[in-house]
Amino acid sequence: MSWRDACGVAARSIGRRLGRAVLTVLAVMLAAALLSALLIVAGAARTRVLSQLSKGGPLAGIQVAAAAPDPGQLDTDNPRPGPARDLDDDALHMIRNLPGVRSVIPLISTPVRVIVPDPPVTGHGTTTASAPEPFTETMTGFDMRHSGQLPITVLSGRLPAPGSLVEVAVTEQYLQRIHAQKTDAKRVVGTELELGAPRVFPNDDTVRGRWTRALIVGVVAQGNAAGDVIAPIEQVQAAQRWSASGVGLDDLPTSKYSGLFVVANGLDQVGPVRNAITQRAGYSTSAPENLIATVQRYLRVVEIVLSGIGLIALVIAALGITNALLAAVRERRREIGVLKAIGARDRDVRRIFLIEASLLGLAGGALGTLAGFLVSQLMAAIVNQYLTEQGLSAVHVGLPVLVFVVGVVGSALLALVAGTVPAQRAARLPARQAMGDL
Amino acid sequence: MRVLTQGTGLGIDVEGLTHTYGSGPDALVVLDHLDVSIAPGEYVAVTGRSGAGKSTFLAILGGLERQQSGRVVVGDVDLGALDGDALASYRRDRVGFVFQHYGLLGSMTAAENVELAMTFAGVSRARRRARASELLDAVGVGARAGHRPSELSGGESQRVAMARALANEPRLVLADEPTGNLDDDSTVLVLDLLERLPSEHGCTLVVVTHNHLVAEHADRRLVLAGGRLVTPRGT
Amino acid sequence: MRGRALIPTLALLTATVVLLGACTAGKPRTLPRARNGPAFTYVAIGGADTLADGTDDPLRQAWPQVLFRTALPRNATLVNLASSPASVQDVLDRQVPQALTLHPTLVTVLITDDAFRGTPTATFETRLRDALVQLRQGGRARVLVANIPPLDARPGYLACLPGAAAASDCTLDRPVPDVATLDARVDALDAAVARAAAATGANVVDLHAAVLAERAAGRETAEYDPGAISPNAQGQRVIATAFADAYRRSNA
Repeated sequence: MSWRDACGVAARSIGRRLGRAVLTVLAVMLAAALLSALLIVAGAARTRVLSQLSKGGPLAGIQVAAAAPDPGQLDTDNPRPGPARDLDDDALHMIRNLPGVRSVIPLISTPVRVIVPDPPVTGHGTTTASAPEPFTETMTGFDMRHSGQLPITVLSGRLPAPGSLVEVAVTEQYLQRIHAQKTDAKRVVGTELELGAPRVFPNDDTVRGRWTRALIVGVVAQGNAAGDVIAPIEQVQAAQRWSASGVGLDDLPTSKYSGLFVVANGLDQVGPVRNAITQRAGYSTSAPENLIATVQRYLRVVEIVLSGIGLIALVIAALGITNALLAAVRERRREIGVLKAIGARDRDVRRIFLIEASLLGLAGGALGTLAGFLVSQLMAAIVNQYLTEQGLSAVHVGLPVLVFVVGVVGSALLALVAGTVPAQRAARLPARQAMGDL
Repeated sequence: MRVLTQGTGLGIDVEGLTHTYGSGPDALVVLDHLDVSIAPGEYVAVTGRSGAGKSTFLAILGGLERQQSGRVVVGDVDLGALDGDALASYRRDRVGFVFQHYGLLGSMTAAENVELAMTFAGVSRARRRARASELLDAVGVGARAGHRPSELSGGESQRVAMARALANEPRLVLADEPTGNLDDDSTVLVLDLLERLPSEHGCTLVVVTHNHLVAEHADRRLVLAGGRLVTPRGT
Repeated sequence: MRGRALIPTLALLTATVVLLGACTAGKPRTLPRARNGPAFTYVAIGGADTLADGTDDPLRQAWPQVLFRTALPRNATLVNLASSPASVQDVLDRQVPQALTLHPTLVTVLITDDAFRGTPTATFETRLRDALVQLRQGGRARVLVANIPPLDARPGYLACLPGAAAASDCTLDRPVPDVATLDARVDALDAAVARAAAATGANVVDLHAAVLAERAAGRETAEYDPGAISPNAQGQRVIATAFADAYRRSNA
């Protein structure tokens, strides 16, 4: 008997006793839904917690300051930096070539005078925001093509486009400065700043500004450097060149780069890379490696416990399949006898029952995984509403391939195992059952 | 019913067949050193009281029950030498069963029930469909091919069961009380079909029955009592 | 469900799960990308009015800043080289050389101090013409040069007149010309501005007419804080509007 024909017989048998099949599928579905929902939520929580620890950047990220290391704080995650030390292209090149380094992203900062638009938010509705007097702040720039590798979390809108000379993002610090609530973040997007880089011409005692206008396209939380404004590196370089070409400004930074963001090849490489940067290159570094390692251990335990709960539910459902199929074998003794009477071998009968079990498990697993995904989406919507009210970025919940495979395929396999005993019992029934009790 | 195949039925030789259910002091001897011969193409009716061993005899002939002692040869096959898959092949290729309870699968249509027998024989889907249609037409229920057993009458169900029994061109047809659940009109219809099997299909027919009408139409009548034959042996 | 339909239904359900899994919640609305545009450098040249000495928030309220914010493309850059005080000679000596290092696309010029100082018209015209020729950079830059608005109503000037009540507010070098003399000087210098602009291809911004219109509408007084020689935020907007209109006309 071919597999296709066996599937047909099994499917018809299930359809003939639909009520019992629905109950069995429902049990598997609930278990699979529980398992998949727990795994999805656990995965999303893990991602969010770790992202929060790494401030939205890669877990293996290391911040390098334009400062020498403090000898008394070499082993801590976030040491106090020592005296200032310029970061130049030689240092960048050296660090880039260290073993275990995947990428190095330079950061440039320059002071700018900021004119906030009045009003500082768009749209109608009440707001606590107000435009302060023009103030001086730090504008930080980096190559926006590598923004995904930096510890930046977009709270509203987006980051400026790479190479843009007219787009910037602002930080939470800017919101505080204009006395805006976190919930006003999206209203800040779309307003326009005026940014003036300072310069003193020779024989002129007045500071002249090179003013530019920039559209605020996003609000971010970032752990790179202090400052209100984040811009593509091209904008900051232009401002920096303007300022540097003048004379007599004492508070201009002398270091070409205000910092570097280094991404190691893996979490296990963070420590060695930090050591190398500190000892060989001579710069202060910070990275939440110890904290991340500790948190990951705890998260792993949580995931194991949640998976265990889900698996227990699935095993219980599988026992339900065993029970239902054993009852079916008892009720279908004559039918099984007839199958053998018309030529079915023992293994044909076994195959039919195993397929029945697998189909029940597959249906329950598919429906359950879908239900678990929908439940996790519902939970995410509720959580995101709270997060948005708090001015925090939303959690994104998808359906990881692994969860899908575990939920659907795992359920089918477990059902297959659960059907082994009933299938074997059916296969061993004597063919004379076809004639009833003799 | 038109002739579907040409050929001869299987001859049957039974020597010293003994069969017991249970063990110890409560053991029940249902067949006691039974000797019988059935000629190829013969139509034999097996009668006797309930518990006489008729159905057990049929089950052993059809390979549904393993013989415990004695010798049973059907055609050129010693049933005692068969086991497991070999017995299943014997049932599939050489024997057609008709049961008192029809034995149809309720989850399948009439046509699908007939095709099922050919599924185990590895016949292609197209060939199965065509042959099932032929057989159902031959037994007069072609118009009911797409109906499930719950939608058929007793007579129709039994005719579908007969079509299924003939699906793999068996040389031995075994019928256990085929008219036991039928009304008089259906009994006549089914009896007519049964009678024509040996001549038109080329098979040996053994029918277990309480119905005198069925027994009267047989070539020979065997009476079992206490597990023994109380009629003279055949040739 | 018939057994035959069970497997296709399962397949459809599985496909649905996979497709839904590709969806995630909460993609926020974002702004479309703002284009960079061709380079545009705007340099403002002038005196106290251009530095917005008369405002509370010169950085935000100075008329070049207002012009920059409201009338120019977003990718423009602005450098305000004005100083206070600044005569046409001061402009020629310092501001023009500084401006040329920036290779401006647009230059605005507003010089009023010479009216108070009594610079001879011919001298003013020659120096102004020299400045405009250089700033035009052979036609590569557009230059908007404003004529001198009426100065006779400015509180800081009036405070310098003999017998003025708020004489302590006077920041100009005394003695200052009387009103008639000042008006005549302004008219003569305005004519010089027109000739110099015509000779060099610069565009004239008729600030004189704009302020007279404000005067006729009764708004001029409100455009100066008490004792100020330069306009306040409101007055700065009047200047910005005049320059913006001239810029748009020059674009047409």
